[in-house]
Amino acid sequence: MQPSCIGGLDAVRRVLSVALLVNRQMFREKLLLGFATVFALFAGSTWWLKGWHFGSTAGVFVADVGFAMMSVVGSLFTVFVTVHTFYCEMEQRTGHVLLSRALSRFEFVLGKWIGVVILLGLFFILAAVTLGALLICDRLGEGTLWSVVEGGGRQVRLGQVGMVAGFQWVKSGTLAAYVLGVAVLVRTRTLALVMSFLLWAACQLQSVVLDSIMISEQTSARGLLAWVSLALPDFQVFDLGDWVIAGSEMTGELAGRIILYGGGYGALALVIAIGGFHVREL
Amino acid sequence: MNFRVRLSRRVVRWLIYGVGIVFLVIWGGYVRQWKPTRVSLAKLSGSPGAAPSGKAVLVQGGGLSAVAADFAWIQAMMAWEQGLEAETIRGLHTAVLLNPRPHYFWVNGARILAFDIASWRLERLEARVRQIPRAAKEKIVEEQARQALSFLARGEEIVGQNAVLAIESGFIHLHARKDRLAASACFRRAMECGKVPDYMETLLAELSGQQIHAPASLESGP
Repeated sequence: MQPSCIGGLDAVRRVLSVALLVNRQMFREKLLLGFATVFALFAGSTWWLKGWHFGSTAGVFVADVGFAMMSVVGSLFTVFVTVHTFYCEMEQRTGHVLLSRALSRFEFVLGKWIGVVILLGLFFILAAVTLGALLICDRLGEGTLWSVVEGGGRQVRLGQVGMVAGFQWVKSGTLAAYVLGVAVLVRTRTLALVMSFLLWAACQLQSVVLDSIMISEQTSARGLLAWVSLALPDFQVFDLGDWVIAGSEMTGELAGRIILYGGGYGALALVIAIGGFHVREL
Repeated sequence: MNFRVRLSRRVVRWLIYGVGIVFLVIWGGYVRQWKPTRVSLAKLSGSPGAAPSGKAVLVQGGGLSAVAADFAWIQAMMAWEQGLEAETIRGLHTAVLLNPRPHYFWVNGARILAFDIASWRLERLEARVRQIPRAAKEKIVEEQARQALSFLARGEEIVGQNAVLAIESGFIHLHARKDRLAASACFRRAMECGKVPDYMETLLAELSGQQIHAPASLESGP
Protein backbone atom coordinates (compact mmCIF):
# COMPACT_ATOMS: atom_id res chain seq x y z
CA MET A 1 0.00 0.00 0.00
CA GLN A 2 1.37 3.42 -0.95
CA PRO A 3 1.52 5.93 1.87
CA SER A 4 -1.07 8.66 1.37
CA CYS A 5 0.95 11.39 2.95
CA ILE A 6 4.65 12.12 2.62
CA GLY A 7 6.35 13.73 5.53
CA GLY A 8 7.14 13.28 9.17
CA LEU A 9 9.81 11.28 10.87
CA ASP A 10 8.73 8.04 9.26
CA ALA A 11 9.36 9.48 5.81
CA VAL A 12 12.83 10.64 6.89
CA ARG A 13 13.54 7.18 8.27
CA ARG A 14 12.43 5.53 5.04
CA VAL A 15 14.55 7.90 2.93
CA LEU A 16 17.59 7.20 5.09
CA SER A 17 16.93 3.45 4.87
CA VAL A 18 17.07 3.65 1.08
CA ALA A 19 20.26 5.73 1.32
CA LEU A 20 21.85 3.13 3.61
CA LEU A 21 20.74 0.35 1.27
CA VAL A 22 22.62 2.10 -1.55
CA ASN A 23 25.77 2.24 0.59
CA ARG A 24 25.42 -1.38 1.74
CA GLN A 25 24.93 -2.54 -1.83
CA MET A 26 28.02 -0.70 -3.07
CA PHE A 27 30.19 -1.97 -0.21
CA ARG A 28 29.00 -5.53 -0.96
CA GLU A 29 30.19 -4.97 -4.51
CA LYS A 30 33.75 -4.24 -3.29
CA LEU A 31 33.56 -0.47 -3.68
CA LEU A 32 36.27 0.07 -1.06
CA LEU A 33 38.62 -2.15 -3.04
CA GLY A 34 37.85 0.00 -6.10
CA PHE A 35 38.61 3.15 -4.11
CA ALA A 36 41.89 1.69 -2.86
CA THR A 37 42.91 0.76 -6.43
CA VAL A 38 42.05 4.22 -7.79
CA PHE A 39 43.94 6.06 -5.05
CA ALA A 40 46.96 3.72 -5.27
CA LEU A 41 47.10 4.29 -9.05
CA PHE A 42 46.73 8.03 -8.51
CA ALA A 43 49.48 8.20 -5.90
CA GLY A 44 51.85 6.03 -7.95
CA SER A 45 51.31 7.84 -11.24
CA THR A 46 51.55 11.30 -9.63
CA TRP A 47 54.79 10.39 -7.88
CA TRP A 48 56.17 9.07 -11.16
CA LEU A 49 55.05 12.14 -13.10
CA LYS A 50 56.35 14.52 -10.43
CA GLY A 51 59.70 14.95 -12.12
CA TRP A 52 58.07 16.17 -15.34
CA HIS A 53 57.24 19.61 -14.06
CA PHE A 54 58.91 22.48 -15.87
CA GLY A 55 57.69 25.79 -14.62
CA SER A 56 55.75 25.08 -11.44
CA THR A 57 57.16 23.60 -8.25
CA ALA A 58 56.76 19.85 -7.83
CA GLY A 59 54.17 20.44 -5.09
CA VAL A 60 52.00 22.58 -7.37
CA PHE A 61 52.31 19.95 -10.08
CA VAL A 62 51.21 17.19 -7.68
CA ALA A 63 48.27 19.33 -6.52
CA ASP A 64 47.24 20.05 -10.10
CA VAL A 65 47.19 16.34 -11.00
CA GLY A 66 45.31 15.58 -7.77
CA PHE A 67 42.66 18.23 -8.39
CA ALA A 68 42.17 16.95 -11.93
CA MET A 69 41.83 13.41 -10.61
CA MET A 70 39.16 14.55 -8.17
CA SER A 71 37.28 16.29 -10.96
CA VAL A 72 37.46 13.61 -13.66
CA VAL A 73 37.41 10.39 -11.59
CA GLY A 74 34.84 11.89 -9.21
CA SER A 75 32.50 12.65 -12.11
CA LEU A 76 32.98 9.23 -13.75
CA PHE A 77 32.36 7.56 -10.39
CA THR A 78 29.19 9.63 -9.89
CA VAL A 79 27.77 8.60 -13.26
CA PHE A 80 28.59 4.89 -12.80
CA VAL A 81 27.34 4.60 -9.23
CA THR A 82 24.12 6.55 -9.80
CA VAL A 83 23.12 4.60 -12.91
CA HIS A 84 24.21 1.29 -11.37
CA THR A 85 22.31 1.73 -8.11
CA PHE A 86 19.12 2.79 -9.90
CA TYR A 87 19.14 0.11 -12.59
CA CYS A 88 20.09 -2.69 -10.19
CA GLU A 89 16.81 -2.10 -8.35
CA MET A 90 14.85 -1.89 -11.60
CA GLU A 91 16.44 -4.91 -13.32
CA GLN A 92 16.44 -7.21 -10.29
CA ARG A 93 12.91 -6.08 -9.40
CA THR A 94 13.94 -5.29 -5.83
CA GLY A 95 12.73 -1.74 -6.46
CA HIS A 96 9.25 -3.11 -7.19
CA VAL A 97 9.22 -4.92 -3.85
CA LEU A 98 10.31 -1.75 -2.04
CA LEU A 99 7.73 0.38 -3.81
CA SER A 100 4.93 -2.09 -3.16
CA ARG A 101 5.54 -1.63 0.56
CA ALA A 102 5.30 1.54 2.60
CA LEU A 103 7.68 3.55 0.43
CA SER A 104 6.67 6.29 -1.97
CA ARG A 105 8.43 6.92 -5.28
CA PHE A 106 9.48 10.34 -3.96
CA GLU A 107 11.24 8.68 -1.01
CA PHE A 108 12.82 6.09 -3.27
CA VAL A 109 14.47 8.65 -5.61
CA LEU A 110 15.45 11.00 -2.78
CA GLY A 111 16.95 8.08 -0.81
CA LYS A 112 18.93 6.96 -3.85
CA TRP A 113 20.32 10.47 -4.31
CA ILE A 114 21.26 10.85 -0.63
CA GLY A 115 22.92 7.42 -0.70
CA VAL A 116 25.02 8.39 -3.70
CA VAL A 117 25.94 11.73 -2.09
CA ILE A 118 27.13 9.93 1.08
CA LEU A 119 29.30 7.61 -1.05
CA LEU A 120 30.68 10.61 -2.92
CA GLY A 121 31.51 12.28 0.39
CA LEU A 122 33.57 9.22 1.34
CA PHE A 123 35.30 9.29 -2.06
CA PHE A 124 36.28 12.97 -1.78
CA ILE A 125 37.44 12.63 1.84
CA LEU A 126 39.75 9.77 0.80
CA ALA A 127 40.90 11.73 -2.29
CA ALA A 128 41.74 14.78 -0.16
CA VAL A 129 43.59 12.64 2.39
CA THR A 130 45.62 10.92 -0.38
CA LEU A 131 46.53 14.22 -2.01
CA GLY A 132 47.34 15.81 1.36
CA ALA A 133 49.65 12.87 2.18
CA LEU A 134 51.39 13.22 -1.20
CA LEU A 135 51.92 16.95 -0.64
CA ILE A 136 53.33 16.33 2.86
CA CYS A 137 55.68 13.63 1.48
CA ASP A 138 56.83 16.04 -1.25
CA ARG A 139 57.53 18.79 1.27
CA LEU A 140 59.34 16.39 3.61
CA GLY A 141 61.53 15.35 0.66
CA GLU A 142 62.24 18.97 -0.23
CA GLY A 143 62.69 19.98 3.42
CA THR A 144 60.02 22.67 3.05
CA LEU A 145 57.31 21.29 5.29
CA TRP A 146 57.26 24.36 7.54
CA SER A 147 59.05 26.88 5.35
CA VAL A 148 58.22 29.01 2.33
CA VAL A 149 59.53 27.72 -1.01
CA GLU A 150 62.39 29.83 -2.30
CA GLY A 151 62.26 31.64 -5.61
CA GLY A 152 58.66 32.73 -5.31
CA GLY A 153 57.36 29.17 -5.74
CA ARG A 154 53.83 28.76 -4.50
CA GLN A 155 52.68 26.05 -2.12
CA VAL A 156 49.20 24.62 -1.90
CA ARG A 157 47.88 24.60 1.66
CA LEU A 158 46.25 21.47 3.01
CA GLY A 159 43.10 23.43 3.88
CA GLN A 160 42.81 24.41 0.23
CA VAL A 161 42.90 20.73 -0.76
CA GLY A 162 39.91 20.14 1.53
CA MET A 163 38.13 23.15 0.07
CA VAL A 164 38.59 21.94 -3.51
CA ALA A 165 37.36 18.47 -2.50
CA GLY A 166 34.31 20.08 -0.89
CA PHE A 167 33.39 21.96 -4.06
CA GLN A 168 33.90 18.80 -6.10
CA TRP A 169 31.46 17.07 -3.76
CA VAL A 170 28.84 19.78 -4.46
CA LYS A 171 29.48 19.38 -8.19
CA SER A 172 29.13 15.60 -8.03
CA GLY A 173 25.93 15.90 -5.99
CA THR A 174 24.50 18.13 -8.72
CA LEU A 175 25.65 15.70 -11.40
CA ALA A 176 24.07 12.78 -9.49
CA ALA A 177 20.70 14.60 -9.54
CA TYR A 178 20.97 15.13 -13.32
CA VAL A 179 22.01 11.50 -13.85
CA LEU A 180 18.99 10.32 -11.84
CA GLY A 181 16.80 12.47 -14.10
CA VAL A 182 18.31 10.77 -17.15
CA ALA A 183 18.10 7.27 -15.62
CA VAL A 184 14.40 7.78 -14.86
CA LEU A 185 13.69 9.01 -18.39
CA VAL A 186 15.34 6.26 -20.44
CA ARG A 187 14.62 2.54 -20.35
CA THR A 188 18.04 0.87 -20.53
CA ARG A 189 21.18 1.05 -18.44
CA THR A 190 23.47 1.49 -21.48
CA LEU A 191 21.49 4.42 -22.85
CA ALA A 192 21.41 5.99 -19.38
CA LEU A 193 25.20 5.67 -19.10
CA VAL A 194 25.84 7.10 -22.57
CA MET A 195 23.44 10.01 -22.08
CA SER A 196 24.84 10.75 -18.62
CA PHE A 197 28.40 10.89 -19.96
CA LEU A 198 27.29 13.23 -22.75
CA LEU A 199 25.54 15.39 -20.17
CA TRP A 200 28.66 15.50 -18.00
CA ALA A 201 30.80 16.43 -21.02
CA ALA A 202 28.32 19.19 -21.94
CA CYS A 203 28.45 20.61 -18.40
CA GLN A 204 32.23 20.30 -18.18
CA LEU A 205 32.99 21.89 -21.55
CA GLN A 206 30.20 24.46 -21.44
CA SER A 207 32.33 27.52 -20.75
CA VAL A 208 35.01 26.47 -23.26
CA VAL A 209 32.42 25.93 -26.00
CA LEU A 210 30.68 29.22 -25.20
CA ASP A 211 34.05 31.02 -25.30
CA SER A 212 34.71 29.56 -28.75
CA ILE A 213 31.24 30.47 -29.99
CA MET A 214 31.55 34.03 -28.71
CA ILE A 215 34.59 34.44 -30.97
CA SER A 216 32.62 33.22 -34.01
CA GLU A 217 30.49 35.46 -36.19
CA GLN A 218 27.32 33.32 -36.09
CA THR A 219 25.01 35.41 -33.93
CA SER A 220 22.00 33.06 -34.25
CA ALA A 221 24.02 30.05 -33.00
CA ARG A 222 25.45 32.24 -30.28
CA GLY A 223 22.04 33.25 -28.89
CA LEU A 224 20.47 29.79 -29.11
CA LEU A 225 23.40 28.02 -27.47
CA ALA A 226 23.66 30.65 -24.79
CA TRP A 227 20.00 30.02 -23.86
CA VAL A 228 20.22 26.23 -24.03
CA SER A 229 23.38 26.24 -21.92
CA LEU A 230 21.51 27.91 -19.07
CA ALA A 231 19.66 24.65 -18.36
CA LEU A 232 22.96 22.97 -17.48
CA PRO A 233 25.35 23.98 -14.71
CA ASP A 234 28.83 25.09 -15.75
CA PHE A 235 31.11 22.58 -14.00
CA GLN A 236 34.16 24.80 -14.47
CA VAL A 237 32.68 26.91 -11.65
CA PHE A 238 33.42 24.06 -9.22
CA ASP A 239 36.85 23.18 -10.62
CA LEU A 240 38.72 25.55 -8.36
CA GLY A 241 42.08 23.78 -8.49
CA ASP A 242 43.50 26.29 -10.98
CA TRP A 243 42.02 29.10 -8.93
CA VAL A 244 43.77 27.88 -5.77
CA ILE A 245 47.08 27.24 -7.53
CA ALA A 246 46.98 30.71 -9.09
CA GLY A 247 46.96 32.09 -5.53
CA SER A 248 43.43 33.53 -5.50
CA GLU A 249 41.79 33.66 -2.10
CA MET A 250 38.35 32.17 -1.57
CA THR A 251 35.92 34.42 0.26
CA GLY A 252 32.95 33.16 2.24
CA GLU A 253 30.57 35.04 -0.04
CA LEU A 254 32.00 33.45 -3.20
CA ALA A 255 31.94 29.98 -1.62
CA GLY A 256 28.29 30.52 -0.63
CA ARG A 257 27.38 31.64 -4.14
CA ILE A 258 29.06 28.60 -5.72
CA ILE A 259 27.30 26.21 -3.32
CA LEU A 260 23.95 27.89 -3.98
CA TYR A 261 24.63 27.79 -7.73
CA GLY A 262 25.13 24.02 -7.66
CA GLY A 263 22.48 23.45 -5.02
CA GLY A 264 19.81 25.22 -7.07
CA TYR A 265 20.57 23.24 -10.20
CA GLY A 266 20.78 20.00 -8.21
CA ALA A 267 17.47 20.60 -6.39
CA LEU A 268 15.62 21.39 -9.63
CA ALA A 269 17.10 18.35 -11.39
CA LEU A 270 16.10 16.18 -8.42
CA VAL A 271 12.52 17.52 -8.55
CA ILE A 272 12.40 16.64 -12.28
CA ALA A 273 13.76 13.14 -11.54
CA ILE A 274 11.16 12.61 -8.79
CA GLY A 275 8.35 13.89 -11.03
CA GLY A 276 9.53 11.73 -13.92
CA PHE A 277 9.76 8.62 -11.72
CA HIS A 278 6.27 9.29 -10.39
CA VAL A 279 4.75 8.73 -13.84
CA ARG A 280 7.26 6.13 -15.03
CA GLU A 281 5.93 2.65 -15.82
CA LEU A 282 7.93 0.16 -13.80
CA MET B 1 -20.28 20.93 -19.77
CA ASN B 2 -17.46 19.21 -17.99
CA PHE B 3 -14.34 18.56 -20.04
CA ARG B 4 -11.75 16.19 -18.73
CA VAL B 5 -8.51 15.74 -20.57
CA ARG B 6 -6.73 12.47 -19.87
CA LEU B 7 -3.08 12.54 -20.78
CA SER B 8 -1.01 9.43 -21.17
CA ARG B 9 1.87 8.82 -18.75
CA ARG B 10 4.37 9.43 -21.54
CA VAL B 11 2.90 12.87 -22.32
CA VAL B 12 2.85 13.79 -18.63
CA ARG B 13 6.46 12.70 -18.29
CA TRP B 14 7.57 14.83 -21.23
CA LEU B 15 5.54 17.73 -19.80
CA ILE B 16 7.33 17.36 -16.47
CA TYR B 17 10.72 17.35 -18.19
CA GLY B 18 9.79 20.30 -20.43
CA VAL B 19 8.54 22.45 -17.56
CA GLY B 20 11.55 21.38 -15.48
CA ILE B 21 13.96 22.47 -18.21
CA VAL B 22 12.20 25.84 -18.42
CA PHE B 23 12.70 26.27 -14.66
CA LEU B 24 16.36 25.24 -15.02
CA VAL B 25 16.85 27.88 -17.75
CA ILE B 26 15.21 30.52 -15.51
CA TRP B 27 17.47 29.51 -12.60
CA GLY B 28 20.49 29.50 -14.94
CA GLY B 29 19.66 33.02 -16.10
CA TYR B 30 19.28 34.19 -12.50
CA VAL B 31 22.58 32.77 -11.25
CA ARG B 32 24.61 33.48 -14.39
CA GLN B 33 26.38 36.46 -12.81
CA TRP B 34 27.30 34.42 -9.72
CA LYS B 35 30.01 32.56 -11.58
CA PRO B 36 33.51 33.62 -10.53
CA THR B 37 35.43 35.52 -13.20
CA ARG B 38 37.97 33.40 -14.98
CA VAL B 39 40.61 34.06 -17.60
CA SER B 40 38.71 33.21 -20.77
CA LEU B 41 40.18 31.27 -23.65
CA ALA B 42 38.97 34.01 -25.98
CA LYS B 43 41.22 36.51 -24.22
CA LEU B 44 44.15 34.13 -24.03
CA SER B 45 43.98 33.22 -27.69
CA GLY B 46 43.92 36.80 -28.88
CA SER B 47 47.34 36.74 -30.50
CA PRO B 48 48.27 35.12 -33.83
CA GLY B 49 49.27 31.46 -33.70
CA ALA B 50 47.57 30.97 -30.35
CA ALA B 51 44.34 29.40 -31.58
CA PRO B 52 43.82 26.34 -29.38
CA SER B 53 43.73 22.92 -31.00
CA GLY B 54 40.83 20.58 -30.22
CA LYS B 55 43.03 18.63 -27.84
CA ALA B 56 43.94 21.77 -25.90
CA VAL B 57 40.28 22.69 -25.47
CA LEU B 58 39.41 19.25 -24.13
CA VAL B 59 42.19 19.26 -21.61
CA GLN B 60 41.39 22.79 -20.46
CA GLY B 61 37.84 21.63 -19.82
CA GLY B 62 38.78 18.61 -17.78
CA GLY B 63 41.63 19.86 -15.64
CA LEU B 64 45.20 18.53 -15.73
CA SER B 65 46.35 21.84 -17.17
CA ALA B 66 49.90 21.58 -15.77
CA VAL B 67 50.43 18.06 -17.13
CA ALA B 68 48.95 18.93 -20.53
CA ALA B 69 51.09 22.09 -20.72
CA ASP B 70 54.20 20.04 -19.94
CA PHE B 71 53.37 17.60 -22.73
CA ALA B 72 52.76 20.51 -25.12
CA TRP B 73 56.14 21.91 -24.09
CA ILE B 74 57.85 18.55 -24.70
CA GLN B 75 56.20 18.41 -28.15
CA ALA B 76 57.44 21.94 -28.84
CA MET B 77 60.96 20.93 -27.81
CA MET B 78 60.84 17.87 -30.08
CA ALA B 79 59.80 20.12 -32.96
CA TRP B 80 62.55 22.60 -31.95
CA GLU B 81 65.19 19.84 -32.14
CA GLN B 82 64.12 19.12 -35.70
CA GLY B 83 63.95 22.81 -36.58
CA LEU B 84 60.22 22.75 -37.38
CA GLU B 85 59.21 26.40 -37.03
CA ALA B 86 55.40 26.18 -37.23
CA GLU B 87 55.16 23.21 -34.83
CA THR B 88 57.52 24.84 -32.35
CA ILE B 89 55.52 28.08 -32.29
CA ARG B 90 52.25 26.17 -31.94
CA GLY B 91 53.69 24.13 -29.07
CA LEU B 92 54.90 27.24 -27.22
CA HIS B 93 51.52 28.92 -27.53
CA THR B 94 49.64 25.77 -26.50
CA ALA B 95 51.85 25.38 -23.41
CA VAL B 96 51.20 28.94 -22.19
CA LEU B 97 47.53 28.66 -23.11
CA LEU B 98 47.12 25.55 -20.96
CA ASN B 99 49.25 26.72 -18.06
CA PRO B 100 50.12 30.42 -18.18
CA ARG B 101 51.48 30.55 -14.62
CA PRO B 102 55.11 29.38 -14.93
CA HIS B 103 57.67 31.99 -16.02
CA TYR B 104 59.69 29.15 -17.51
CA PHE B 105 57.39 28.82 -20.54
CA TRP B 106 57.29 32.58 -21.21
CA VAL B 107 61.04 33.17 -20.83
CA ASN B 108 62.22 30.16 -22.83
CA GLY B 109 59.46 30.59 -25.41
CA ALA B 110 60.54 34.21 -25.97
CA ARG B 111 64.20 33.17 -26.38
CA ILE B 112 63.21 30.57 -28.99
CA LEU B 113 61.08 33.11 -30.86
CA ALA B 114 63.73 35.83 -30.79
CA PHE B 115 66.94 33.91 -31.44
CA ASP B 116 66.38 30.34 -32.66
CA ILE B 117 63.62 31.03 -35.12
CA ALA B 118 65.44 34.09 -36.45
CA SER B 119 68.51 31.90 -36.98
CA TRP B 120 66.46 29.20 -38.79
CA ARG B 121 64.88 31.80 -41.05
CA LEU B 122 68.29 33.23 -41.92
CA GLU B 123 69.65 29.74 -42.63
CA ARG B 124 66.73 29.01 -44.94
CA LEU B 125 67.31 32.31 -46.73
CA GLU B 126 71.03 31.62 -47.07
CA ALA B 127 70.23 28.30 -48.70
CA ARG B 128 68.27 30.14 -51.40
CA VAL B 129 70.28 33.38 -51.80
CA ARG B 130 74.09 33.43 -51.73
CA GLN B 131 74.51 37.02 -50.48
CA ILE B 132 71.73 38.13 -48.13
CA PRO B 133 71.41 41.92 -48.01
CA ARG B 134 72.08 43.36 -44.56
CA ALA B 135 68.64 45.02 -44.54
CA ALA B 136 66.91 41.66 -45.10
CA LYS B 137 68.84 40.12 -42.22
CA GLU B 138 67.97 43.00 -39.92
CA LYS B 139 64.33 42.77 -40.94
CA ILE B 140 64.11 39.08 -39.97
CA VAL B 141 65.86 39.67 -36.63
CA GLU B 142 63.60 42.63 -35.90
CA GLU B 143 60.45 40.68 -36.79
CA GLN B 144 61.38 37.79 -34.50
CA ALA B 145 62.36 40.12 -31.68
CA ARG B 146 58.99 41.87 -31.99
CA GLN B 147 57.20 38.50 -31.83
CA ALA B 148 59.14 37.56 -28.70
CA LEU B 149 58.43 40.93 -27.07
CA SER B 150 54.71 40.70 -27.74
CA PHE B 151 54.79 37.10 -26.38
CA LEU B 152 56.38 38.41 -23.16
CA ALA B 153 53.93 41.33 -23.02
CA ARG B 154 51.06 38.84 -23.20
CA GLY B 155 52.71 36.90 -20.38
CA GLU B 156 52.89 40.06 -18.25
CA GLU B 157 49.22 40.73 -19.02
CA ILE B 158 48.26 37.29 -17.72
CA VAL B 159 50.64 36.65 -14.80
CA GLY B 160 51.03 40.32 -13.87
CA GLN B 161 54.05 42.60 -14.11
CA ASN B 162 57.13 40.91 -12.76
CA ALA B 163 60.91 41.26 -12.80
CA VAL B 164 61.66 37.97 -14.60
CA LEU B 165 59.65 38.79 -17.72
CA ALA B 166 60.77 42.44 -17.73
CA ILE B 167 64.46 41.40 -17.56
CA GLU B 168 63.91 38.98 -20.44
CA SER B 169 62.31 41.76 -22.52
CA GLY B 170 65.37 43.89 -21.72
CA PHE B 171 67.78 41.20 -22.94
CA ILE B 172 65.82 40.77 -26.17
CA HIS B 173 65.98 44.54 -26.77
CA LEU B 174 69.70 44.47 -25.97
CA HIS B 175 70.92 41.39 -27.83
CA ALA B 176 68.46 41.01 -30.71
CA ARG B 177 67.47 44.61 -31.44
CA LYS B 178 70.66 46.28 -30.08
CA ASP B 179 68.40 48.93 -28.57
CA ARG B 180 70.19 50.00 -25.36
CA LEU B 181 67.60 52.62 -24.49
CA ALA B 182 64.62 50.22 -24.61
CA ALA B 183 66.68 47.63 -22.74
CA SER B 184 67.47 50.12 -19.96
CA ALA B 185 63.78 50.99 -19.67
CA CYS B 186 62.91 47.30 -19.26
CA PHE B 187 65.62 46.72 -16.63
CA ARG B 188 64.43 49.78 -14.70
CA ARG B 189 60.89 48.43 -14.84
CA ALA B 190 62.19 45.11 -13.51
CA MET B 191 63.87 46.90 -10.58
CA GLU B 192 60.60 48.61 -9.74
CA CYS B 193 58.82 45.22 -9.72
CA GLY B 194 60.84 43.84 -6.83
CA LYS B 195 63.80 41.57 -6.23
CA VAL B 196 66.24 41.46 -9.16
CA PRO B 197 69.61 39.74 -9.60
CA ASP B 198 72.70 41.57 -8.25
CA TYR B 199 74.14 42.20 -11.72
CA MET B 200 71.18 44.37 -12.71
CA GLU B 201 72.58 47.62 -11.26
CA THR B 202 75.95 47.05 -12.91
CA LEU B 203 74.29 46.31 -16.23
CA LEU B 204 72.14 49.44 -16.02
CA ALA B 205 75.20 51.54 -15.21
CA GLU B 206 77.07 50.06 -18.17
CA LEU B 207 74.16 50.76 -20.49
CA SER B 208 74.02 54.38 -19.39
CA GLY B 209 77.78 54.72 -20.07
CA GLN B 210 78.96 55.03 -16.47
CA GLN B 211 82.34 53.84 -15.23
CA ILE B 212 81.97 50.44 -13.65
CA HIS B 213 83.91 49.44 -10.57
CA ALA B 214 84.15 45.88 -9.43
CA PRO B 215 82.63 45.25 -6.00
CA ALA B 216 85.07 45.69 -3.13
CA SER B 217 84.84 42.02 -2.23
CA LEU B 218 86.22 41.08 -5.66
CA GLU B 219 88.90 43.79 -5.72
CA SER B 220 90.40 42.73 -2.38
CA GLY B 221 90.92 39.19 -3.68
CA PRO B 222 90.77 35.93 -1.77
